Amino acid sequence: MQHSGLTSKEATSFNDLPMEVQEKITPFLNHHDLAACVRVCRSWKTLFHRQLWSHIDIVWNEDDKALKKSVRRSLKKYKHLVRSLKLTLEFDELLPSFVDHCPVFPNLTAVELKAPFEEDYESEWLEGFINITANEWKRVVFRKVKDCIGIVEFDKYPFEEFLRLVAPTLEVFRTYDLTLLSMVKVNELLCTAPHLKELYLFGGADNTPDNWLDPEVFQESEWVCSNLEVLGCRIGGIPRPDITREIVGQPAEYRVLEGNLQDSVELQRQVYARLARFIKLRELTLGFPLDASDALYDKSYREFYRQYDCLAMTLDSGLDLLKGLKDLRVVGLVNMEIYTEGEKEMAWFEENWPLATIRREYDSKSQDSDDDGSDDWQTDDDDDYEGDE
Amino acid sequence: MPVILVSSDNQDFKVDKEVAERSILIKNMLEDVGESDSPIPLPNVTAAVLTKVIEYCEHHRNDPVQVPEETDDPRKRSNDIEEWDMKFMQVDQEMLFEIILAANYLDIKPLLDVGCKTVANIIKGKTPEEIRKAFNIVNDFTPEEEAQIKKENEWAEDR
Repeated sequence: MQHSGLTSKEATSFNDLPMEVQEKITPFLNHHDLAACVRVCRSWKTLFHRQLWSHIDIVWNEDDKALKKSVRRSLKKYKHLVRSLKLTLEFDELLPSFVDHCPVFPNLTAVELKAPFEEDYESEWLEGFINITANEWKRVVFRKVKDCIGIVEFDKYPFEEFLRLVAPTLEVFRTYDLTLLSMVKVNELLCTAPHLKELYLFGGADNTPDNWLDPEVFQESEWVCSNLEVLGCRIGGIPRPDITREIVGQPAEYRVLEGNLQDSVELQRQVYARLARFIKLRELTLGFPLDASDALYDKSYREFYRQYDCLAMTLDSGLDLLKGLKDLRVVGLVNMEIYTEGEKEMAWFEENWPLATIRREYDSKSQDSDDDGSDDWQTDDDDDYEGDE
Repeated sequence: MPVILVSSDNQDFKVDKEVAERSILIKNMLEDVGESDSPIPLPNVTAAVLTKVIEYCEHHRNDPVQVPEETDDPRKRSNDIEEWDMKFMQVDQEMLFEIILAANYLDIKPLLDVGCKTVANIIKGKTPEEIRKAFNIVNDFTPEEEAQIKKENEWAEDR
């Protein structure tokens, strides 16, 4: 066979790849890897520097004064490159110290704030925080640092005010393991954020009505986010006289809202009709992932925390109104009092949501790695649901 | 109907149309010329590389067309390579880059994707010196320059 090129042709190497192909490699690397890449050689610095700085991930702790100084200096230098910021605070009080010395980023649109969220954030932080970007706020994630237990009276006002101000441009709003907002404000967000694509509010076991979206509240309001693709949020306040079994050793009526079956079905049909308008939904998570491996929430607690005023997700309650949501990939029903063991419903799921995985069980294994920002939690097939028929 | 592909070193490869059309470049060429059995010259791909590329396309001939997952997350995973692809990519570095170049030229997105993931996996977790060694790259920074870059990006260093 004749070789067309030179016989002593040099081996093809990384540098022979066209720039646009080299650039395709960068999204697979995290910031630690990219920080190593920019030190390899000049051409690699040119290639990887922009990507390294477009998504910055800063851990801000109290003691490291020298680091903070050098971080501030380079933030200033490369502020125009920064498009997303992930900020991890050791203490809540450190937020003002970050904001005060941070430049205004001209291209920043996405912020993830990971903090203990235990101390009240003074209202003044809001002004500083909202102005760290000169661009539009598109993506906001608040994540509570793990291992912080204890229920703290937290002043929600600054966060609610912040959300009100960013709503007109917001596309993604997610919170993890904390209950920052009252659902009245969440409903307001649904009414004022026309570009919203993802709303996901989960974690934390705070089982108060403040953490449920209540039909009483949203019935009269107009939701404007018709492009919503991800909705993760508990919907509560629904009387469920169909639940008749004993709950934690007590008659069900102690834990079930009062109301007759007809009213209950009427209310549920209204909710389904409302949800059915989100025709672009890919993920609908109504149940909540409660970590059963956590000692606090052992078996009896799970019973205690299970939601008993939720949508029944049965055909009898009007589930068929949701048959237009053909793009659904994930339906999360963990820890809800539902009767989806019914053959009718299972067949209906398969026929109407062909692409969807129905999740009914929390899986702690997939919760461990929260570093990659993944919120995936999967269900086991052998589920130990103990509903009463 | 089979299609005949000709490598840069003039070797003919007879492959099923369905397999050849994994390459968007070839697919578009075939659509342009219509029904024709004239061979398709691929002047940028050697026989050795084309053999590998065809092996990939044969294995993936029935894959559904990829729909790009829309995600706001700037980071993508590289630890989700299928087992067959992983084995397929166990080649020397020269061949790895040749495959990537060919996938880019022939416009075979999934293959390009797997190639890029493989390169990313070589880079991951390595120090700058280990990366240089892995890719045979000469450090053209002065020690001062490298120290300066390290300092500027201190927030990103793995501490």
